[in-house]
Amino acid sequence: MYLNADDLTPLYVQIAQWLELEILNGTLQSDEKVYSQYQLAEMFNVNPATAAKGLSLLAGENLLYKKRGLGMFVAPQAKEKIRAKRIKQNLQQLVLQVVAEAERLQVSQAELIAMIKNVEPPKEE
Amino acid sequence: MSLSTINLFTNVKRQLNYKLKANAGILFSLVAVQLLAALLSYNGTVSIGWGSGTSFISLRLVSGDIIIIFSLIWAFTAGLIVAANSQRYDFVFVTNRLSSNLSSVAVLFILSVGGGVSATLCGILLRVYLLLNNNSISSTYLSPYILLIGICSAVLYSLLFSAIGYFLGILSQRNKAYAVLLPALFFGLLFVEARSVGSTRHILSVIYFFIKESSLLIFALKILLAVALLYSAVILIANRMEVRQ
Amino acid sequence: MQSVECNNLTKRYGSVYAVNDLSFSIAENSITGLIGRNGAGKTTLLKMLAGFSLPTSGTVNIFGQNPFNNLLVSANLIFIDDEMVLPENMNLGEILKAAATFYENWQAGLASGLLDYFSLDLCSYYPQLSKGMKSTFNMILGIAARCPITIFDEPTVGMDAAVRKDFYRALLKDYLQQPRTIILSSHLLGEIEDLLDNILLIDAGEKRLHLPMDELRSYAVGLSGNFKLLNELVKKEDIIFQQQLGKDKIYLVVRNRNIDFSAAKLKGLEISPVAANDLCVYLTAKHKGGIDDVFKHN
Repeated sequence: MYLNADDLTPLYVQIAQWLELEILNGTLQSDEKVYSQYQLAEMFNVNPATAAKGLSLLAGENLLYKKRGLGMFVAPQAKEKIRAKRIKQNLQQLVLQVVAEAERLQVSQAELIAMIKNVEPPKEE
Repeated sequence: MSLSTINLFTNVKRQLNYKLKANAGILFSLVAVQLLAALLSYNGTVSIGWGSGTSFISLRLVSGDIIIIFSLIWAFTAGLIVAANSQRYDFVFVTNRLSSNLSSVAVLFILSVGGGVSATLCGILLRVYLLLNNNSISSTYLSPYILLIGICSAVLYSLLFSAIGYFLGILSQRNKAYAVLLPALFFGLLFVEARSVGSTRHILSVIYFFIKESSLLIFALKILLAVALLYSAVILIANRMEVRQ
Repeated sequence: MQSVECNNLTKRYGSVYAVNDLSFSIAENSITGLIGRNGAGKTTLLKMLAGFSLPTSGTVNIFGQNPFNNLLVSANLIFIDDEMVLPENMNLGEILKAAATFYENWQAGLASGLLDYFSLDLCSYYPQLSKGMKSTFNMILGIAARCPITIFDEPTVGMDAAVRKDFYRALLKDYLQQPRTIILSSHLLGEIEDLLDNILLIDAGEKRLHLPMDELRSYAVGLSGNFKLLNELVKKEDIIFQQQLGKDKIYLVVRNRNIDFSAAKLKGLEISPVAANDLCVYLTAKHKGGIDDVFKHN
């Protein structure tokens, strides 16, 4: 698995985002053990300290919790928290951009909504 | 991660193993050199002929001297090569200067024993060949005692010559100028001495110091002392040398 | 614990300072990238760390000891570079066997596995290998020795892209199994930046930066927009790189400090992150305008 090297988002943030996705799509359930920094380092081909930073980023948001000597686990309600956060941060940003672009291109609100309705949601892999 | 501890003697042993393999080519060259010397010796070092009328007497003096001389040149070259190789190959793996020099000494010691013994035996081979061709009257019998003395002195001379080679090899690594200066100095002195007489002949007196010695024991002591001096000088000189400048 | 410590380290060849007054330390069990342009003094520095050469002034400490002519340091530090000379009459298999006798942590299985993977023949001889294959073999020696300090000086010279990628992955995987102090030198940061804990950037023998990788990524920002507006906003000494974009537009790379980002956004300036590799190039450039400067004056 390789991270996007051209993306200038810091690697540890990319790792954190990937873990969030894993929690969102249910691969990682509440109170389930998360990958260790070493596993993540190997999966993403990055320095283990970088991977650890990704984990502590999520721990700082209380999405993960630490069991001493056992590693990191998914916090209860992590999925809901991530969902709320992403709606607030990502989706609204994206909508803002879409609306702005639509305005530049003089696409009416109705047309835009129709376009959104016609988009087929990507199939889960 | 914890550090590996290291003992000088253990490392010298490991290096000796490695360097014997890395310098194996020198042993092959020994065989070639001694075969060539034996071939050259076969025609005799001295050959005199008388003839009057119908009879002709020819006298050939065949000896193992050429083999010994060739072997000593080989030992000198071996010293030079081991010095060059230790600078190139040793520092790839674990070493310091002392360990590198001690293992070189061990390699040269083994090579000298091999060279000295085989040179003497090669001389015997020559005698045997002459005996089988039976057209020669020669002192083909060698007492074991004389043979032993022959082997010992050949080995000791090889030790000395390889030590001189190694000394010059390391010295010229320290500064390339030595590679030119020292041979120039040596041959220059030879010329000067050829023109002078008596007590000013230093090189000659140094050579006599060794070759005029009649007691094997004292001879061995003299050689070993000279060898020890040379190697101590090398160890001192090499101690502050940098690697792969 | 610090594995490597240098204080005011200087190496002079004649009147040229190859390394000039360098002071830094490297923590145990970390991967450090030594970055600099050709001739910046990387190899000179690494040779002093390995105990191969003597500093003109200043000190080097490896495990708290002077590495020069030091057997303990030699047993615990391996220095891999493309000037390595290996015996020409020993085949690769024999060389690996010899190496195994010298290093306590030697991984024979790993070495032969890697040799096999990179299609190197145990029976071939070192001088017959191509440049890239030599580098590959050196790299195998460096990884399999598992020395507490492992130094690679430009390890990927001559390797093709696929081998380089495999090499860095092999290095990382072995590092995860046995953490140690690794120093990698390269003039290209791009291909190693993901592996690194820290970066040490040197230029003309002097230290430019010694930072954790994350801090390097936020060390500078790119700003582009109106020439006048940018000049008001940015202090001159913070400018690292500048490039003219059209008539009155300019792109600046500036130190990420004292910048009022909200003011910049309000004035319609574009803010963008700067790739670590580009930043290193800009920081070690002699002219703030890069190669364009040459053409401007002629």
